[in-house]
Amino acid sequence: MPQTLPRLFAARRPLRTAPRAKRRHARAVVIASLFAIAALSAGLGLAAELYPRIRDPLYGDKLAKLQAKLREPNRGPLVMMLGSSRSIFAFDAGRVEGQLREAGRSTTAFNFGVPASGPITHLLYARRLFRDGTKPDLLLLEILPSMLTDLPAGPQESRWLYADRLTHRELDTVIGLGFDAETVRGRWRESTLTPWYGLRFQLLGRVLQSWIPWTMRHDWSRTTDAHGWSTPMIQTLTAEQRATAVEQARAEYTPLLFDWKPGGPAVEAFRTLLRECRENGVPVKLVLMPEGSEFRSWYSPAVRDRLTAFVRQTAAEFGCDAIDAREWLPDDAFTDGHHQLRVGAEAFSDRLTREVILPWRKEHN
Amino acid sequence: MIATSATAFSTAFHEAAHAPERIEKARWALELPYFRWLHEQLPEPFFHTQAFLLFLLVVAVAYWTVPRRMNTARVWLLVIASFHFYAAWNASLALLVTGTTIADFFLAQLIDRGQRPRVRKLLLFASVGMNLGILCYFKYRGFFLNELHDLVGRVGFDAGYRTLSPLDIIVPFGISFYTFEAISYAVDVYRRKIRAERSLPHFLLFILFFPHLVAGPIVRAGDFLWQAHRVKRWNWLRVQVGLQLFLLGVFKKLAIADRMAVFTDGTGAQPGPFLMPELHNTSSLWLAAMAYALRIYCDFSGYSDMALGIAHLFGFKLTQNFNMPYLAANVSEFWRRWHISLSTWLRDYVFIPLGGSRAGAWVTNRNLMITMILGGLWHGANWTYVVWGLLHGLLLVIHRQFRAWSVTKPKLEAALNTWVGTAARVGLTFACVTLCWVFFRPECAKSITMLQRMFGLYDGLTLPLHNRSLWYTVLFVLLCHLLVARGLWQKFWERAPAAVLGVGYAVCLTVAMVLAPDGGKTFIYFTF
Repeated sequence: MPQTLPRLFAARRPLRTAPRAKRRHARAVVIASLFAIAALSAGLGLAAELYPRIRDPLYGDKLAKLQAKLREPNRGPLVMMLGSSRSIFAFDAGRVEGQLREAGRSTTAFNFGVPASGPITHLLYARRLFRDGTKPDLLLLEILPSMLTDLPAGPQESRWLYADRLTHRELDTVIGLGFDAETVRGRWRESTLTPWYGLRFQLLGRVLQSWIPWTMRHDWSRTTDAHGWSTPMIQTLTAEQRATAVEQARAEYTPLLFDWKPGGPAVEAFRTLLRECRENGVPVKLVLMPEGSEFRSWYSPAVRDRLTAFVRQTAAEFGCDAIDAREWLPDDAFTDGHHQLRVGAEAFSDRLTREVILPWRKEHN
Repeated sequence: MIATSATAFSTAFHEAAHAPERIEKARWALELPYFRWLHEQLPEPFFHTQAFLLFLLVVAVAYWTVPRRMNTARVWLLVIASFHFYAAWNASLALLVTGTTIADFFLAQLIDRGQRPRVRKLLLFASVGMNLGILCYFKYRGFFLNELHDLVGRVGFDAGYRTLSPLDIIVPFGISFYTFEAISYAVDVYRRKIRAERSLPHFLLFILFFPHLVAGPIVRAGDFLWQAHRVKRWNWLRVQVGLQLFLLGVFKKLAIADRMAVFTDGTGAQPGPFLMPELHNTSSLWLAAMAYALRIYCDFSGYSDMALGIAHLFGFKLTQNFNMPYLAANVSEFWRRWHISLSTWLRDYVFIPLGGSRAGAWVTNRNLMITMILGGLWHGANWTYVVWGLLHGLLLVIHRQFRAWSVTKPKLEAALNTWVGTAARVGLTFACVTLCWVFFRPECAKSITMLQRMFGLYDGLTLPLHNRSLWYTVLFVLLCHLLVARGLWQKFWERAPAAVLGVGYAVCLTVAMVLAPDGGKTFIYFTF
C-alpha cells in the first residue's frame, strides 16, 4: 500500500516494464477504482441529503423558485396553493399577483402544485416548508377526492411517491400511513447506498430529459414559470381529442369515484396536515377544484352528498373555509374534464382572486 | 385495429404478469425450505444485481482464503457455490444438471478406457443421447408436440392432447450451453483428442462453473480442465482485467442493451415496434431493428464480458466470445466474430463431420445450410429461429459464391479492399445481419408484419422514446469500436496512470447505473 499511492499518477511504458511492476500498477488501478466508486457514491449520497433538488426535484425546484420569490424586495404576504396536477395548470399565480397589485394589495402568490400528489405528499411537503421556515400567510389546499379514499392496496399515492424522493425521517411517516415498509425501506436504501442508480431518473431528468420516458421524469417543477405555474402544453383541442382525453380520465377515475367514501391513511394525512397548519399558525382555505360536467357526472348523488358533507365537516373542525369551485368553468376550459387549459386557468385564477384572495387580503392588510 | 392490438398487448402483459406466479408454483412444488430461502437471497441468476455481487464477494473471499496447496478444496468450494447459484433459481433443475454431469463423467471414463470400437461408440451414443434427450425434453418437446397437434388437426383428427403454452414448460437456464459442453467433451474423449477427467470435482466444475453456466461461453474441456488443476496465485493483473471486463459488461448491459430494449419493446405506457409492429411507422421499424441489433450484441457480449471478468477473479480464463462482430466485412467474418464459442463448436462438431468444405461447392453449401439451420434451432424451438438460421446459411452460401467469382476479378477485389469498399461491405453486412434479427424471436407473424412494413411506407406510432438517445448510442458504440480496432484503447490502457484508469472504471460504472432504464431486463440468451 505505501508504494501504491506514488504509483497512482505514474504513467507507464508497458513494453519496458517488468511483470512485477505491471502487477503493482494493476493493484493501484483496482484500489483507485474502489476508492473512486466509493467516493462518487458517498458524494452523491451526501449531496442528495443536503440538496432536495437532487433527491426530490419536484419539491426542490419549486422550493428554489419560491425562495427566489421570497427574496424579492417589497414583497407582500405569501399566498400559496398546494395541490396536484390540477392545481399546477389551474392556479396562475403570476396573474393573481398582478391583479392584487392592481388592486393595491401587494401579495406574493405561488403555485406549489406537484403532479401525482395527494394529501400524503402535501403533508410531507408542508412539513419540509415549515421546517425550512417558509410559512405561507394563506394556504390554498386542494382537495382531490379520488386521493382521499381507502383502497385495499394501500394509499393511491404509494404508486407514485417512491421512497427515493423521501428523506430518512419521512420514511416512518409514509410507513405509518400504509405504505409497504419493506418496499419503502428497500428503495430508500438503494437510493442511498447506490445513489447513481437509485436517483438516476432525477439526475437524467435534469440533464438528458429526452433519454427517459415522460412517465419517469422528475423535472416538471423546473419547467414552470417563476410563480410555479405550468402553462398547459396544449392550448386548443378538437372535439375528438377532448373526447379521447375524457375517456382516458373516465377509465382512471370512475372506479375510484363511483362508490367513493372518505377514509383510510390519506384522510388521516389530510387531517394531520390541517392540524399542523393550525399549530404553525398557517390559515388554510380548502379548494374543491373545477371539473367538467361529464367528470362531475361520475360522482353518484350519494357520493356527491358524502363529499360535500366531508368537506363541510372537515372545514368546520379545523376552522377553515371551503371553496367549492367544481362548477366554476365550462367544459371547453378543460383538456380531459379536470386539467385546465390556459383559458380555464385564467378564468379560475381571476375568480379565485376576486372571491377568495382579495377579500382575505383586505381583511388581513 | 389499434384498439384490438392494444387489447392484445394488455393481454400479453397480463399473461406475463402471471407467468412468474405459475412458474413459481411449479418450481417450488417439491422443494425444501432451504432452497426457498436461497431463492429469496438470490432470486435471479443475473450478474449485475446487488444480491449476486454479495454472493460473488462471499465466494471470492472464501476461495482465496483456502490455502493454495488445497486446490481440490478450492475446486469443491466453487462447485458448491455454482450449485447454489443455480439452485437459487431452481433446485430440482440444479440437481438434474449435477446428475447428468456425474453420469457424463462416468460414461467418459468408460469411453476412455474402452478398447472395443463398438462399445465405445455405444457409450458415446449413450452420453450424447442422454444430453440431447434432456435438451429435447425441456426445450423442443412443446414445439414438436404442438406442431404434431396442428398437423394431426389439419388432416381432420384429434391429437388427444392440448397444445402446450410456453408457460407450461420450464426450460432450464443455459441448457443449450452446458449440453453442448458435455457433448463436446464426450466426443473429444471418444476421438481420443483428450483423456477423460479423473477427478469428479474438477469435471463438475467444468460444467457447473457459475460464470459460464447459464449463458456461456461454451467452454471446451481441453481449454478448461487444465486450468482447474493449475494451482492459482492471487494476481492483481488478473483482478484488474477481471474488474475491467466485468464493468464493461455491466455498461453494455445496463447503459446500452437495456436502453435499446426501450426502443424495441417499449415502455409500460407504449408497446415498442418489436412487440406491436403493426402499430408503428416505417422509419420507427427500421430504427427499432437497428436498436435490436445493438441490444442483442450488447446484451450477450455484455454477459460474456461479465462471465469472463468473474472467471478471471478466480484465476480462470474463459473463451473469448465476441470480437466486434459488427465490424465484419462479410457474413463469414461475422460468424468468426459473433458468439465465437458456438460458431467454432458448430464448425468442429457439425460442419466438419458433415464433410466441411472438402467435397465440392454443392456439398459445402449443403453443409453450411445444415449447420446454420441447426445453429438457429439451437437458439430456440420455433420456426422463426429456423428461418433465422436458414437466412444466415443463405447469406454464407451467397458470400461463398461471390467470393469464388470475385477472386477472378482483380479490379473488383482491389475496389472492395479500399477504405470505401471495406466500409461499404461492413455496412452491407450489418444491414443483412440486422434484417435477419427481425426473425430472432418467437412470433413468426410479427416478424413478417415487421418486414412488410419496413419495406413499405406506413404511417403509425413513432418510437416510445425520443430517437436522439438511440443515435448517440449508435455513434458511441461505433466510436468505441473504432478506438479498439485502431489499437488506441490498448495503447491508452497500457500507458495510462493508475488513478486515471481507476477513476475511469468508476465513471464507467456510474454512467452505466445512471443510464439504466426502469425495470431490469433479463438476458436474451438466458432462454437459450
